[in-house]
Amino acid sequence: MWWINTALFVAGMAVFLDYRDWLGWNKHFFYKVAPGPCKYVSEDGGSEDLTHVGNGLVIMTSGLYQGKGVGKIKSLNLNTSEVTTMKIAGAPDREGFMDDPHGLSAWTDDNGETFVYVLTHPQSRDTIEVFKLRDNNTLKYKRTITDPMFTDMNDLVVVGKDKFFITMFRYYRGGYMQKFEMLARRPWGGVLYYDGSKARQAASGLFLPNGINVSKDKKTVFVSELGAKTLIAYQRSPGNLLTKLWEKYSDTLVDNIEVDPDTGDLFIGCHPVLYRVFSFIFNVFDYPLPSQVLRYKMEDNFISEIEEIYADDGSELYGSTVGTYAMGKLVIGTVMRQTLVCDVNYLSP
Amino acid sequence: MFSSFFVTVSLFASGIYYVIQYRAWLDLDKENVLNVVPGNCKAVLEDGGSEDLTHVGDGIILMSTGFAFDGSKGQIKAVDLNNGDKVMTLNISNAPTKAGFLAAPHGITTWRDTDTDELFLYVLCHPASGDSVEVFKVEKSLTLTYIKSITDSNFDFMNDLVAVGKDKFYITRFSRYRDFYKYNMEIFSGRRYGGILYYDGKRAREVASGYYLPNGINISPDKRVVYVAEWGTKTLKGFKRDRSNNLMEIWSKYTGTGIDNIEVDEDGDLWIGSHPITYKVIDPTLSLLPPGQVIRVKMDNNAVSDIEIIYQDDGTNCAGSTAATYVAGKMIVGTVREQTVVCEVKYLSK
Repeated sequence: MWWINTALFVAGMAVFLDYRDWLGWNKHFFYKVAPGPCKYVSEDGGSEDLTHVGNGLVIMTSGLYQGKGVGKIKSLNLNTSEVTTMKIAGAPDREGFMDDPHGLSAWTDDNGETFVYVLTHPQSRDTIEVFKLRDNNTLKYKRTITDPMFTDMNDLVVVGKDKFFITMFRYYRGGYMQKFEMLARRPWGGVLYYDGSKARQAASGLFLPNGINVSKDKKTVFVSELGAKTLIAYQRSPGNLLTKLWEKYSDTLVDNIEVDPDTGDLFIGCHPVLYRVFSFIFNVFDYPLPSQVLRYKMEDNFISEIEEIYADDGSELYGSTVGTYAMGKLVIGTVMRQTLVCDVNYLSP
Repeated sequence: MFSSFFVTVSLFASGIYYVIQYRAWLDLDKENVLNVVPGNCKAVLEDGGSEDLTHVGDGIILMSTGFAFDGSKGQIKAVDLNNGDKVMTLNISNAPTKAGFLAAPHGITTWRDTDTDELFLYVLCHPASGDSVEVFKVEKSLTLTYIKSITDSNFDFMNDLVAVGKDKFYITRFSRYRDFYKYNMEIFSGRRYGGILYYDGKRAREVASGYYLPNGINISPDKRVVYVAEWGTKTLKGFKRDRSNNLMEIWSKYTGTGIDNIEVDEDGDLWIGSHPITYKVIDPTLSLLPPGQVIRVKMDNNAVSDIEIIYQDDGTNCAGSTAATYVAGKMIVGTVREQTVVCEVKYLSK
């Protein structure tokens, strides 16, 4: 019966090694990569998600996980490197409005009006606030969207007026079940589609799906399955159903996705080491969170190459979540701290 | 009964620990590397390799090519970075007729005599009779004149060298055994048989020992600190050099990657060709495609301040990088037996 013991031992070792690798316990050294000279445009508050809406205007959410009543939307002018907090005209006088702003998505209608949809986490239930972009410094509040299916959401991508795909990061919104869901790697997350009046399931069985975006031709939806360190591509049907096309594992926790409007390349903010992210979430040790931005070069909506455009051990940039490439510069946002802008002196064709 | 349980648990624990360490050393948990590209890159040589290279001035890079375990004869080539990256093979005059001349050329170093402005090239080779350093004078016409061969009974399986005077150099002993199978056994045993010797013009003596597979070696611009890439432990080490040419280790920096040869640029920063995934490069018979990587180690007072990745490739464009150097906006990368790549470097942090 020795062979049963040996088989059990080998299986046990395999599971242990796999969990250890998943945690990133094998990573002991963090190097730097920079595409050009970098400088801070903001040193605190963070910029968990950001997007370039045109003409050098980058809109970002700030204040996530930093307490109630401090969430805001900021705008960065790439031409002047100035960051200002955007005024919200017509804001509702509601407790929890703009608490913990998280993922955002910008959408322009046929009349050329740009709308910004922001996911927030007020105590009661995850909520999307819809704004119209009035000018570089002002947003006009339009309406609030919520749904009983929204539990612990993360990011969204708008595909039509009040129509969007949204990632359900965790099924449980808190408590021991949420901790269990993460540590036991339960694939209880997914993607919902909100059709303008209610949400329905679009994809399920995902482990910590995080960033979401859509290809240049609007036909492919990309999802960062952060917990599985995998980028997934779905084909989007005219009825907004999702069918999985392909997935690509890359040994880093992929977070928010930005799509280059000219080339269709994906820029993804990443967290190279999971145990440090857990340490941050569970408030255990005070490790610096390393940062990384990857560029996925796309050809016909398939990955042709993956490049590392920026990397840091956490001393320059703490916990990158998103990166976008606009006007020859790379703008990188973090969960709670700095926002960095780097010149990109070279981008391979 | 209690003691046998305790012994079993200890054996299991050390066995598990050993497996984890070995797996980490081999990088078995890494599938591949991401690309990092500093600018436009192209291969100036498609195969044959360029195990070690060095800049001798005016954009001229000298390199040893054709390193192979079977000890076949290699060549010394040059790349002119100021002239369209032209590649030329250097003719050797006065070459000896003995067997094993220029067999498996490995590490190289140069020495300029400041009084006569003569440039000397030292090439470590592996003829069957015993490791030998071939000494050449580099003529202005970029041909080599053979001068002599330096051997020593203390030379086992050497790897790289750095000249500190005419016919005076520090040389790394990679392993004790030269025979292919014994050499592989030594690597897998993890025994620290590697070290550094100093050749004083007449004989070699050991000045550092107890290292695991020390590979590249070079020296700070002020000639005070000797840098050694201990490939086996993925650690870069700095040694202080005293007036008797003895070495004392003063700092050690873990780099997380299989660092190979070291070149020092004009600012004193180190450029190191390295192997990020050990298992893909260690056995040529397995024919796996090893990735390429160049790290730039920024130095402050001859000690490490930052480590950047300047270039990284999954192996399709640059496989098994061993050496790299940077000259006026261009970086050249050499490999064990594949391509030699030149890239523009569009950004280098201060």
